Amino acid sequence: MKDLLHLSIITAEGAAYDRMVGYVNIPTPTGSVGVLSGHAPMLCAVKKGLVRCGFGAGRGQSIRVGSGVANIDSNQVTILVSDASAETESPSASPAL
Amino acid sequence: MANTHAIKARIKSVENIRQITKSMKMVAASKLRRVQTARGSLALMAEKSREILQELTAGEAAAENPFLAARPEVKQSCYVLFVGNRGLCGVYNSALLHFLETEMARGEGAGFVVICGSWGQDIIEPSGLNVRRRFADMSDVPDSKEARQLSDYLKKLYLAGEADRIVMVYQKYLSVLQQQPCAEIFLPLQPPEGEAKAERERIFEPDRKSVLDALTELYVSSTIFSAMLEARMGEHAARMCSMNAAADSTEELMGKLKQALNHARQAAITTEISEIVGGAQALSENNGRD
Repeated sequence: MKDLLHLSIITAEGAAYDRMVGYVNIPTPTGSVGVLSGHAPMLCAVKKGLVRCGFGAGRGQSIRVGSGVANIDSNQVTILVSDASAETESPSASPAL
Repeated sequence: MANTHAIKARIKSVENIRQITKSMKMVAASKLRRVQTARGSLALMAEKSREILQELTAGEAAAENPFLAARPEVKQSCYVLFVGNRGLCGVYNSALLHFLETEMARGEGAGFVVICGSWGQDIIEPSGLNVRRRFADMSDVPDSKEARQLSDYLKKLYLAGEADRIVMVYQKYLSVLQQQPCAEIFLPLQPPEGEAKAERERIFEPDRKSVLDALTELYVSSTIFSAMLEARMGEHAARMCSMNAAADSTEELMGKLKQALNHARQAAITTEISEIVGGAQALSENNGRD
């Protein structure tokens, strides 16, 4: 459990995604930012695109998001976006965790 | 007999009205619950964005943000009026319109109005108010897309300099029984109330200004969405109360009409009996003479 992050994606319609994950990849205006457990506190602008997360054992999921901001603090990743829709769970392209 | 027929017809029509008002009350109650749920869902976003904004507005980047920096002079004000989509909700709409007129009269500079809601197209526009645009197709249970449509338009107005201040005029929802007209400054954004949070050491990606810009975009949309939902909650609550009062009045009227029907029926029976008695008496008098 200590290597996991709590990922919440919040829109004006409520929490669109809330799950413990091992890895998060966030699209930003200057490229994508990868977040693992123990990341330093960070605030980043989020651009429209796909947030990717991995659950371990090569599994992962993508969430299509609108623009917004992400707050990373104490293994908690909170992404506030204009809209979000989770895509089906699939074997992740991200490193197996 | 003609009188009892008329009363029966009236009772039937009052009964229909009672059923309609009861149905409208139930529809309003159901819409109110849906809007309340939407408001509850928005609370999470509002709380999180307020927390971050509180922290970011302390720095210099706030002064450069076009939505946060106050303009030195207010030449033109825009009033966003959140009316209902229809009437039958007591004084909800007319009280709000009256409040807007008072607010505009004492406001700084010239002003124009943007209306959200379809009520009063034949009242507001001809009244002489300077109406710039009406968003008449907003649903009874608004969603974030509709809110974004309105906030995008208002942001454009503000950034183009067509309005130096944007004020939201709506009925604040205090309870099902009580709503209060209020005017809140929407733009320039008012920094969130509460103690300013201590600046923390953080990484900003790509930089602090870009994060603040992205956050204010979200905050602006969620502020408009919140006002929109609150106004709709007030409208449905006001309609629910009005329909409840109307249903109660029809019950009272039904009681009176039933009493009048009984009186009329009794009068008809009495007339018939006296006619029979009179006829029988006349017959017995005739028989006695023979």
